[in-house]
Amino acid sequence: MKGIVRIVAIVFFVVVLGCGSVGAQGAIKIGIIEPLTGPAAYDGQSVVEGARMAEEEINAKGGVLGKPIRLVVEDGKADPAESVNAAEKLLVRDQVPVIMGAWASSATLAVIPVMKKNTTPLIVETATSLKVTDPPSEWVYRICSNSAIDGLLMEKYLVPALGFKKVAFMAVNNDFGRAVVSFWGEAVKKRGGTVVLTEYHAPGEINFAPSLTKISTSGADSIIITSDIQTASNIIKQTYELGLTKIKRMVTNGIPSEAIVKLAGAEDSEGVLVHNYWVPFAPPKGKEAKNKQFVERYTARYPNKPVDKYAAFGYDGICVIAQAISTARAADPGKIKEALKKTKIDGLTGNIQFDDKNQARPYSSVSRIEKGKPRLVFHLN
Amino acid sequence: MLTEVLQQVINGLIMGSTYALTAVGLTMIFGMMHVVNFTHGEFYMLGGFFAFQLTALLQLNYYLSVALAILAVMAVGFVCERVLLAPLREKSIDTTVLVTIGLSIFLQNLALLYWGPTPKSIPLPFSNMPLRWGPMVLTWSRILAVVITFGLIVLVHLLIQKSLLGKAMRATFQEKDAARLAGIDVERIYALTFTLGAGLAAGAGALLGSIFLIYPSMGNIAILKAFIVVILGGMGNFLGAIAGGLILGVAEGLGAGFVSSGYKDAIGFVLVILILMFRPSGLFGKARRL
Repeated sequence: MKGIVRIVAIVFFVVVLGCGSVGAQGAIKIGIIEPLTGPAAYDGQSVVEGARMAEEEINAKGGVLGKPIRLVVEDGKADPAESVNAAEKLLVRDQVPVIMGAWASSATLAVIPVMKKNTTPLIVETATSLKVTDPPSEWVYRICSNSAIDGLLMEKYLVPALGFKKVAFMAVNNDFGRAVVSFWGEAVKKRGGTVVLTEYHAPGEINFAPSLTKISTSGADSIIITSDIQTASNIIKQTYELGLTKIKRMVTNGIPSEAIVKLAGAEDSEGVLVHNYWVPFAPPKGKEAKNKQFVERYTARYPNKPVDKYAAFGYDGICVIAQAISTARAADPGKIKEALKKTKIDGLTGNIQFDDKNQARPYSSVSRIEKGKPRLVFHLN
Repeated sequence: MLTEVLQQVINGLIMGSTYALTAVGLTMIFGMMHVVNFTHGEFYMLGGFFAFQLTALLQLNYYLSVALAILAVMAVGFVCERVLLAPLREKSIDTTVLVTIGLSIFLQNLALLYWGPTPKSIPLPFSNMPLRWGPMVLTWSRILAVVITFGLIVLVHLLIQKSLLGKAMRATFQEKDAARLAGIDVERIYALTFTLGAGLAAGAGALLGSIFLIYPSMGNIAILKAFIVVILGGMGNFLGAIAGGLILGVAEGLGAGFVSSGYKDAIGFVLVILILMFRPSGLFGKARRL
C-alpha cells in the first residue's frame, strides 16, 4: 500500500514538473537577481517594479521574436553567497539565456564568475564598483555608471563649485563604498582638498553617533555619505540630531531625494546635496516627454511609492535585453552577447550604448533638498 | 578630547540601555525556560511596526501607542508560546531552537508582506532639535528612550523581586520540579515569562524605532546584540544583562570613536570571545549546566 502511494506521489510530482516547463516553453525567460528581503529590499523591489513595467509594455506590443518575455525573479538579498545561489538556480533550473542583477557591487562581483563559467551574459543595472567592468568581460554589460566615471565628473565641481575642501567620508564597508571613497577622494585631492576622515560602517548599521561625534571634532567642512537609502537617511537624521548641520552634507550614487525627505524628515534633510542618476524632477533636454510618461505609469501602478532611479534602471535593463534578443534573432546566450555589443537604446537613464569595456554612460546631476523638495543644482557632464 | 570622550560615553549609554532592555527579555526566557529564543528580534521588530501603525496610521497619541504596541506584542508572544513552545516542553533545546528560528523567519516575512520593504519612521510628538548642554548634544527622543527603558527595567525588576508572582518565577528558575511540588503552576509561569520577555523586546523596538527607522529585517542586528549582551552578563542573569548592555554600548561608542568605526560590530564579538575563553559563565553569572 505504502509503495503504491509513493509511486502515485512520484507520478504526480513528475506531471506537475512537466506542466511547469510546458507552460513556460512559449515565453522567453529573463533572469533577475535583486534583494527582495533584507536591508536593501526597498531598492531591489523598485528595480523589479521597473522591470515588470518594461515586461508588460514589451508583451503588449507582441513580445520579442513573436513570443512574450517572462521575468524570473530570484532574491539575492544583496549578499554575495545568496546571489551566487540565485544565479545558479536561474541558469540551471530555469535555463535563462540572460540575467539582470545583482544590485550590490559585492554580490555582482560574486555572480560574474558564474556567468563566465556558464557563458551567459549579465546586465549590471545598479552596481557601481569599478571592478565590475575592469577588467572587462565579454559576458558583463553595465548600464549604470561606475565610481571612476562619477569621480571624474565630480572633480570639476566638488572642491571648486561646492567648496568640499576638508572632506569626511561615511561609507558602507563593501566594494561599493570603498570604490566611492577611493575615486571621490582622488577627485577632492586633485583639486587641492583633503580627506580628513573616512568612517566605514557595516551594511544595516543604525547607530552613527560614534562616527558623527568624531567628525564633529575633526574640522571637516563636508561629509560625503555613501550607503543604501535607509542607512543614508539614518545618517542624515543623526547629523541633524547631533547638531552637524553647519557641515555640508552630500549623498552619493542616486539615492532618491524624495525618500530621504520621507525617512529623515524635511527639517533634518534641509540643504542636503544629492548626487543623482535618473531623477523624475530634472530630465535632461529632449527626455521630458518620455520621462513624464514613465512617471505617470509608475505612479498609477505603485501609488504609494515615489518613482526612483532603481525603477528606471530596471526598466531600461529589460528594454536593452529585449532589443538584444530581437537583434540576435534567438534566445541564445552567445548570440545575445554578440547583439549586446551593437545595442543602442534611447533609454530613460541615458542613451545606452556600451563602450569597449561594455560600460554605458547614463546621465547624472546634483540637486539640493530645500524645504522638503529637491531642486536641480547642475547637470554633470 | 575630554568632551569627545564624554559624548561617546553618553552615546554609548543611550544605545546600551536599549541593548539592555532587549537582552533582559532574552535572558529571562533563557534562564527560566531554557529556550534560546531566536524570535526575540522579531518581537523587537513588531514592537516598532505596531507603534508605527498606531501613531502614523491610526493617529493615536505617541506614548499610548508605545504602551499598546508592547501589549499587542505580548499577546503575539503569548499565542506563540501556547501554540508552539508549550507542546515541546520536555524536548531538547535544539528542537526549540529550530522552532524559534522558523517562527522568526515566518514573522519577518509576514511583516515584509504586510508592511512592505519600505522603511518607516514613527512620527514624534515633539521636535527632534538637538539640545545643547555645554559641548554635549542630545535629543528628546534619546533622553525619552533612556527614561522609559529604565522605567521598564525597574518595573520588571520589582515584579520579579517583590511580587508573589515574581517569587514563583524565581522558584521555577531555581528548581522547576520543586516549584511544581510546592503548588506553583509552572506552565503558567512559562507562558508569563515568555509574554513578558516579548513585551520588553517590543518596548525596545518601539523606542529605538522612534530614534532610527523601522523595517522588517531590523530584528537581525538587535538579536545579535542581545545575544552578545546575554553572554557578557551571564545566561539567565537579570542584572548581568543590564550591565552587559551598558558595557557593550559604551565599548562600541569608544571603540568606534577612537579605534575604527569599521570594527564597531567586531568589538562586541571580541568581548564575547574573551568572555567565553576566560569566564564562560559571563561577567556576573554563576557556572551551571544545561
